[in-house]
Amino acid sequence: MGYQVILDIIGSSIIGGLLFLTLLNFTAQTMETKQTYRDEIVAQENLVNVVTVMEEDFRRMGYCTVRSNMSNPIVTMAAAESVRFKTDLPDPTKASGEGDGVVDSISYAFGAPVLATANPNDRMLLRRENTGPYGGSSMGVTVFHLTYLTSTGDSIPSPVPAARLNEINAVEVTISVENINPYSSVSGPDSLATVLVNWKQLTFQIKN
Amino acid sequence: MTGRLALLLVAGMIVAMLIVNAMMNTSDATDNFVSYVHRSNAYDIAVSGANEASTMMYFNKSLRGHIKNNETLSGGTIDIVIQNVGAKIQVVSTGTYPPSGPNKQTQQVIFYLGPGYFDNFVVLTDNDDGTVPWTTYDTAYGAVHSNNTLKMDHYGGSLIMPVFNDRVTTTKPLIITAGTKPVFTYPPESGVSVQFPTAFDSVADPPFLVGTTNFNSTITAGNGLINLNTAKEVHMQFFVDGSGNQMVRYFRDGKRMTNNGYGDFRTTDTVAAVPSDGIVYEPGVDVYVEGTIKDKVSVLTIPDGSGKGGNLIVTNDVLCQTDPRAGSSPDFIGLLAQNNVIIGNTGNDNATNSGSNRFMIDASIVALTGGLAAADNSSRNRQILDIFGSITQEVRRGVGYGSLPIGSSTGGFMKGYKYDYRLLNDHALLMPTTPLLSLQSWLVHTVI
Repeated sequence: MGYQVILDIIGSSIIGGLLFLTLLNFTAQTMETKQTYRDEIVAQENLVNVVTVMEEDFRRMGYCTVRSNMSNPIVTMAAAESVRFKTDLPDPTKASGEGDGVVDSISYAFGAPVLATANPNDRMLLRRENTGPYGGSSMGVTVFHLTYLTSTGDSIPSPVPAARLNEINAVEVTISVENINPYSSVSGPDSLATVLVNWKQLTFQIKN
Repeated sequence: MTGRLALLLVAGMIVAMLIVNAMMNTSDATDNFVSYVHRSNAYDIAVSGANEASTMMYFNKSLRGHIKNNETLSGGTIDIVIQNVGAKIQVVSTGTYPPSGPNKQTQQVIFYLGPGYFDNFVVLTDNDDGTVPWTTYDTAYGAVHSNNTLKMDHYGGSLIMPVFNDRVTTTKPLIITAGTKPVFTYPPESGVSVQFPTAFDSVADPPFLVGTTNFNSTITAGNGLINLNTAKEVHMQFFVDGSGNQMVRYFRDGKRMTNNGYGDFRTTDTVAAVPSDGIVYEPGVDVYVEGTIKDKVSVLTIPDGSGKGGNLIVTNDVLCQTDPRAGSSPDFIGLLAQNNVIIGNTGNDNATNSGSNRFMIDASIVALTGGLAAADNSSRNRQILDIFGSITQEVRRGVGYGSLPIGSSTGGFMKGYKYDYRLLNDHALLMPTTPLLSLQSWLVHTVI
């Protein structure tokens, strides 16, 4: 014992304390990173879930097993945030996903803000088959925008008047999804940190 | 010594916690994104397989079976099965990416092919050299094609230009005269060629022959455009009797022109029953036809060995019993002529036809070596030639022109052609088939 031991204890305490503080800081950063990851996962999963359903629907636009039953216009209502188009929905008796030959319709609409979530920007994405009730999806969708294009790629202003519905050859869908529960950002108590993921796809209506 | 041990202990704990933290950071977000990319790749592979199957069937129409069994393509696998399903050919192209693993995604393209028919157009013309223009007031709702060109012309004033509500394709570029502003739903395409039919389909049903006695007569039709040879002729009026049977009344003793126009059918004329889904076949005869038809009935005429006959002259409305314009109808009429199909000049159109300045025909019309024409097309009453069905013709002929309003005493017909979309799926008897298969439906389906 002596000075040597005392110096060892003091030195190790200082270095250990510094390391401990570093560790705390590192852990906090890790937690934040993990939170970001988690938000990204949630937002991405929500986007993928929305897109999976929507892709399947839009790829059926104009499809019918009995093609003479399908008639123009395929898109029967076209606005910037809502659309209705003709299709042939899957026949539950067929595993292949083929329809029954009866013309159906699918509608999409961007609904009201979702009040149950902390994110003030997300809105309900509504989907309806034929004349049934609208089903809502609170997936953190903050942008749902539709652009309608002619066969030459020119966009048609929305809402598309009934007389021009026949001109629609492709529909461009843009979706943005944010996490539904953003947390307070360090940049300011009033701002919310959120994760944003986007998806855009051009779908051509089927010309049977 | 104890201090150094404490230091080592803290350092060891830091390393341990770093490892634990690193293990807790998942790659779910990346996996999620990767799954979507994999599904997109699987979709591309399935579509590529569908295109490959189409190409292979183009060269070998009888190709059937499991032609690709999970073969490697673009880092994934492709599986293609071609089989007959009823009267159609089903092609199932399955794309998988990657070939295995937890993120494997599978997409399927299921499409059907069927025999192609020439009634896929509202007007299909093999040789339209632009002599007969599409002009003011003309409308075509359905695909229009010419293996030559199409001419667009107009008459003075800001009148309605010819309107085309579906695809317009030609082999050579369109001819559009100065000041003409045709209305196209889709931009017209040139450089497109469609093989034209050379013969009617083989007669699957035994033809129903109307009588056996022939009569010689002469008519000049089409305002001098068409000179019918001295040919035998028969006049037919189709109707459905009170018991719902398809009947035809006919005579052969020449035209009976009256104030009511052609026909003037009498109760003393021969009446015969037409078999359901029947074909009325008259070789070497010019056939005059009108009336109402149920189920599937086609009237076919071809010239005899000396080239006489083979023209079909429509003397009044030819309508389905169940109106196909109002929705579904089981009735399909074929007006099939080796030479021309001529709208006869009835002398008093409004009295004999539908009474609304319309001459109405619900039929698939084929003029294999001739064209659709109207007799006296410039001097007859101004009406709408209201054809609901399809027109397949070798050459374009005149039916009327000018800017006179409907009801004028001259000017002939303005074209009001509408495609019968039932013809995408069903057809009149004897309608010629194309040498190529045509797409019936196309479906993209997510398997996993």
